[in-house]
Amino acid sequence: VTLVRGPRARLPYCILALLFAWPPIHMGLSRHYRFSTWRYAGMGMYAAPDGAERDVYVFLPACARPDVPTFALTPDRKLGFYYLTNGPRLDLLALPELKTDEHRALASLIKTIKSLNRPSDFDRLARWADERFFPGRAPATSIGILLTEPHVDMAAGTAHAEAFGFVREQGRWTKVDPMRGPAALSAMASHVGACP
Amino acid sequence: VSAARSPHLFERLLADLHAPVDAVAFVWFRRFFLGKLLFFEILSIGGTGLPLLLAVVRASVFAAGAALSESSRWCRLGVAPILAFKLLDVAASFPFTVNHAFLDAALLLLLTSFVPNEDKTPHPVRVAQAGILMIFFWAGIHKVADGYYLDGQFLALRVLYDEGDMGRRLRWMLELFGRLCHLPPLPALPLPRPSFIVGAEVATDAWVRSALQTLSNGAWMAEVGLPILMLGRASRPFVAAGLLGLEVVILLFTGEISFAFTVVACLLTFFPRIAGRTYPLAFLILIACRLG
Repeated sequence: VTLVRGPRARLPYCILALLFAWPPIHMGLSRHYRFSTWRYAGMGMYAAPDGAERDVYVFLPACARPDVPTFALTPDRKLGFYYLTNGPRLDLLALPELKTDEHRALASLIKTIKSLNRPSDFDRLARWADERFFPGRAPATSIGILLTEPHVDMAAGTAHAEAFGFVREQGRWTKVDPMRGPAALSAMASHVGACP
Repeated sequence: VSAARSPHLFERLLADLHAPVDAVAFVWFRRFFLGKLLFFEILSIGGTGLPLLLAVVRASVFAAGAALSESSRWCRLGVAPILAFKLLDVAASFPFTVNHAFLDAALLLLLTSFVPNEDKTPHPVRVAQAGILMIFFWAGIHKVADGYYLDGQFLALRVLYDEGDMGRRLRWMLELFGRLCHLPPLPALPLPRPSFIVGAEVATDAWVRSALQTLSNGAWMAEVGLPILMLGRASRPFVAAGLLGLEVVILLFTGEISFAFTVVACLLTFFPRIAGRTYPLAFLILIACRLG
């Protein structure tokens, strides 16, 4: 075997090296940063549910807006809109055809968060929530974001979620230990806490 | 008596990577792959005004590139504009780029840079063969590592809640299997998607659990095992046939037709002597699948 030199000659080796080395790195990164295994050129399509199957919950301090302490940005797959799961303003985000710029931008942001799970997108969502729920007031001191991944335990006969949360305090996002089931909601609410 | 030293596995693989490639088989590989890209460009023609004009221009460039690649003198030049468009597509859709778009771009890059009869670097066909095996292998490992396959829950989620094609096809297969084996019928599916964070009860028959676990574990074992079996030279055509069978199953359930084209293009290179028959036949079958 005679090896030749030069960028063009190295290209096949570079491609093979990437195909060999990137998937395990991608596996580790997707697990650590919890981005969808379907993204960033890995080999994880169909290995786990895609980001679209995740749900996103946003937690705001209860004292600031008692009527909207927690809401879920969850797509209703039949009607095609995001809705609030509690609080009286259930229609706030009803977006049957994503008609306004705000709705379109929010839908795009949620899609990105579900798939990529990046703090920069959390910041954008937090800014949106600040403007939406605290107009003309100081931003919320703390905000929490919870992402859930669907699971089915066929032997036990249950469907449940693995949840992983992030809390913003004093401008920094910190990771909350992974949680399972509805306890995650109360745990996140306690992390976000009350306004000072 | 000097005992001939059997080559180390790595040396053997390196020699395989540099093995000569049947020129006719390579032409068919390139023709099939560029034909696939042109086919999808033609399918994407639609709309009105500027988008329509751009789609027509793109398809024309792809057609001209594919035609030029038939000439031994202009083959690299023909592929270059197709590569440019593909790289633009990858950049424009990033980070939501579908993974096989990267593979397509890499293959185009190889076709653009390869000089027939001059290069002593691995032939694009050899890289495609090694690459597709690594893709299958790592896809199988990923399925195990993510924890959704050992107990069959990825497929269970599709069967129970997926209103899309994959869920529908899996349910159809389970129903058929159940009828043939006189097993209890499936409940009315798909179920409404529950709030997973709150939790929900899911009742599945034991036979459904067993079937999904068998299918699920069979999938990752085949993806990991078949590429490993490729290490033995004698068994390669049989293993390649097995991988083609696996790809047919993957295509049936997932409907990933663009990926199927690329996989078939790479796997048929393991049968260079019959390339003139297998490539046209496979192309027609895949086009029929896409249009049907």
